[in-house]
Amino acid sequence: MPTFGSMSLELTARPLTADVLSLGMEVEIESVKEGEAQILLNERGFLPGVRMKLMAKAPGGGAMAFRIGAAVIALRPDEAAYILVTPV
Amino acid sequence: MKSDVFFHIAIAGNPNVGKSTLFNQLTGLRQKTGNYAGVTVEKKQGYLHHAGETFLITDLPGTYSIYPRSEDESVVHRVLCTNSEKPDALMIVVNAGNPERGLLLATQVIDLGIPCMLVFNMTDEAENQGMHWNAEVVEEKLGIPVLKISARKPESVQMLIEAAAQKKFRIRTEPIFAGIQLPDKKQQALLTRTGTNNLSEAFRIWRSQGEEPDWKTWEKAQGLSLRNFQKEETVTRYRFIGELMSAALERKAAKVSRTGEIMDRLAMHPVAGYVLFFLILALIFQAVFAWAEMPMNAIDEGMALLAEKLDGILPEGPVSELLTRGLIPGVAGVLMFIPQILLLFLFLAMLEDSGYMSRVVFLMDRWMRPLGLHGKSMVPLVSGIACAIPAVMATRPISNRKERLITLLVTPFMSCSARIPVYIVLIGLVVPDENLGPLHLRGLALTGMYMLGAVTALLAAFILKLLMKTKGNSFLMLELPPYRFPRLKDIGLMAYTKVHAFVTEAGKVIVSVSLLIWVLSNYGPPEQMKSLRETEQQLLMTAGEAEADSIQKHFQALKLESSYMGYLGRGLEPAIRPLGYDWKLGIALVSSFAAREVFVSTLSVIYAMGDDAEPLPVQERLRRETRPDGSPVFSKATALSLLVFYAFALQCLSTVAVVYKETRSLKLTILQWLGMTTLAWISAWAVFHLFQ
Repeated sequence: MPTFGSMSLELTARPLTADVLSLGMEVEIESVKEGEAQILLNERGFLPGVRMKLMAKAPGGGAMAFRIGAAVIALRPDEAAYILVTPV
Repeated sequence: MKSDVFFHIAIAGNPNVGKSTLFNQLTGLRQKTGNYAGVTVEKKQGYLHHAGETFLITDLPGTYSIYPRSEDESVVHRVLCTNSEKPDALMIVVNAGNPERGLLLATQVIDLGIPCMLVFNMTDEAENQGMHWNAEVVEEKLGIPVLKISARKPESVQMLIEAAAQKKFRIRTEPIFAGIQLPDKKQQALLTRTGTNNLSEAFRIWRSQGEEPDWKTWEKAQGLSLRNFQKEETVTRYRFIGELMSAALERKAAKVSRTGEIMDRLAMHPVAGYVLFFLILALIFQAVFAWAEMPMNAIDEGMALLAEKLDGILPEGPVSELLTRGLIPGVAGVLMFIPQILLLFLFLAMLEDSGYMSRVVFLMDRWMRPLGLHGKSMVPLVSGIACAIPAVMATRPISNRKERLITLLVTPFMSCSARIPVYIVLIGLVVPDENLGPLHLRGLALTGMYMLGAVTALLAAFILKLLMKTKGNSFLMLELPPYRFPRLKDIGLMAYTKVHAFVTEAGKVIVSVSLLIWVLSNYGPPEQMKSLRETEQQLLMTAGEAEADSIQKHFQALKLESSYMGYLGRGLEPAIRPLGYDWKLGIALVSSFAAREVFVSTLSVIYAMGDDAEPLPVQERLRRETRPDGSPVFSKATALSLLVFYAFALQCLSTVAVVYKETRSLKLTILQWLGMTTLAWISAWAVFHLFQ
C-alpha cells in the first residue's frame, strides 16, 4: 500500500475526502456525499468512477483546482470534502 | 422573447464554450441590448440576414444546468420553459474537447421539446488533442442534427449559417430522462399538483420549483425527496453521455500541450500568483493614464474651440449662452471620458476573455469570504475602477444573494474614472509638484486615493456581512477555462458596446444635469436679476474698455449669487459649513450629486470671476480664491476634506439607477446612498478638523 505524505496508513484505509489531497495526487471518485453541494458537483461531472487530479491550491486554505477530464474546476475545501476518493 | 415576425434562434451552452464569439460572428454589429422583462439580466440579441430571410438570434447566459440557481440561470430556465418567450429553435453549443458538462445541459434542453441542433465548437482544438467525434453517431443517439465547427473560422460559420437558414432543427421523440419510477399514487399526486398529464413535464416543474417552501411541505407529505430525484436525473444523464461518448468519440494519442499548465503554475502560484495579479493591475493603470491623457486633452480642447467658434458665429443671447456654456461643456464632460473607459474596458475584456480572471477568482476567494464577499466579487470590484455601472451589472454570476448584494453595495467605493478629474484638480491644489525619491508626490497621492477606495470597499463589505442576516449556501465550483488568445474583434465589440452604453445612458444624465445647472445658475428671481442687469449696463456705459471686462466678471459672480443655484447653495450652507465649505462649494456639491465629474466644470464656472484680466487655469483660479477674511478657500484642510468627500459619496445618478434595477429594492438603494453620503460627510468633517 502506498503512503501519501504524512498521512497514516490507518487514514488511507478509509476512503479519503478530496480536500485532504496533496498537490499532484490522482484519485478516483468513489461517491459524493449527500448534501446541498452534491447535485452541483454531480452536474459538473464529479461522479463515481471519474478520475481527478489536484493541480493547484490557493494559500491559506483557499480554493483547490482539480483536473477532471479535459476540464479544470476550482472547489473550496468544504466542497471538495463532499467527494470521497481512492488513490490510483 | 417570442417574435412573431422573425424565426427566433437561441444559443445555449456552458460558460467558456465560445458562445459569444459565435453570436458575434452570426450577428456582427446588428446587435441590440436590452433587459429581460422583470429581471435585469442583459439580453443579447441580434439579427442574421440570409437569403432574403431575417433571423432573430438570442445569446443566452452560459449555464451548467437549466435549473436555476443564479440570476443568469433563471433567465435560461425562463426563456426555455415559458411559452411566451420560447424561441422557435435552439443551438446548443458544446466544447468538442471538453464535452461532458455541455452534453449534460444538452440532454436537459433536448428533453424540453424545442427543436434543437447540437453544435460542437472548437473542433480543431479537440482534433489536435486527439479527440475525433463521429457526428453521425451523435446525431443518431441524440436524435437531433449535429454540426462540427470552429467558431473562429469563417468557413465554419458559413456552414452554421446555412444549417440555421435551412432550419435544420429537430425535436427528439423520446425523452432521455423521463423521470424516476414512482408508485402510481405518488405519480398521480405529482401530476395533479403540477396540473399536467405529461409526466416528464411534471418532473421538470417539480425540479425547477422544488426549493420553494410549499413544495417542500408537499414533498414531506408525499414522502418524496427532490434531492434523490435530482441525483438520479444527473446520474442517468451522465450514464447516457458516457455511452454516447464511448460510441461516438474516437481518442487518439496526441501531443498534449502543457503551455497552459505551465502558465497556471505561475498564475496560480501561492506567492507569485498574487504578485503577477498586482503587477497586471499596475500595468493597466499605468497604461490607461498614460495613453488616455492625450486624447482626453484633445477632446477637451476641441470642444472648447467649438464653443468659442459658435460663440463668435451665433448672435449674442440666451441661445448662444445655452449652447456654449451649457450644452457643449456638458457633452464635452461625457466625451472626455471615452478614451479612459474604452481603454479600461479593453483591458478588462482581455483579462476575462483570456481566461485569466477566473485564476484571480481562484486566488482571491479565500480572502474575500471573511469579508462577506465571493471570489467572483473580484470581477465587479476590479471593473469598478473603470465605472461602477457595468461593475454593478457584473455581480450577476454571484449566485448567493447576500454575497451578491454586498458586492453590489460596496462596488461604488472603488475609485471610478469619474473621480479622476476631481482628484487631479484637488491634489494639484495641496500636493506640491515634487518628487520624493523616484516617486512623484502627486502620483503617489492619486494612488493613495485608489487605495482608500479599495480599502473602504472591503471594510464596508465586512460591516455589511455582520449586519445582513440573509442566509443561504455559497459555492465556488468554478471552471478554469484554458488560456486563449483573446480575439480582437470580440474584445473590440465588447468595449464598443460598453462605451456606447456609457455615452447613451450616463451621457443623458450628464448632459441634462449640465443644462439644468446652466439654467439654474443663469436665472433667479426676475426682479433681482433685472436690477442687477440694469446696474451692470449703467456701469458698462460709463466704464472704459479696460474696466469693462472686470465689471462683467464681477457681475457674473453677483448674478450667480442671486440665481436659483445661489439660493440652493446658500440653503445647503448650514449642512456643509462644519466641513469648511462655503456656499459656492455647496453649488458644486449639489450639481455633482448627479454625476461627480460635473464638479470641476461647475467650479470653473462659479469661480470664473474676480479681477484677473486674463483667463486662468482652473487650479490657479481656485488657489487665488479667498474668504472674506482673506484666508484661502482651498486651504489644505478644505481640499483634503473634499477629496475624502468625493472618495466616499455616491454622487452618480446612473449608479443609483442601476443599483435599483439590479436589486429591485428601493430600500437598499436609498440605504446605500444614505450610508455612503453620511460616511462622506463624517469623514470630510473629521479630515477638515484634523488638518485645520
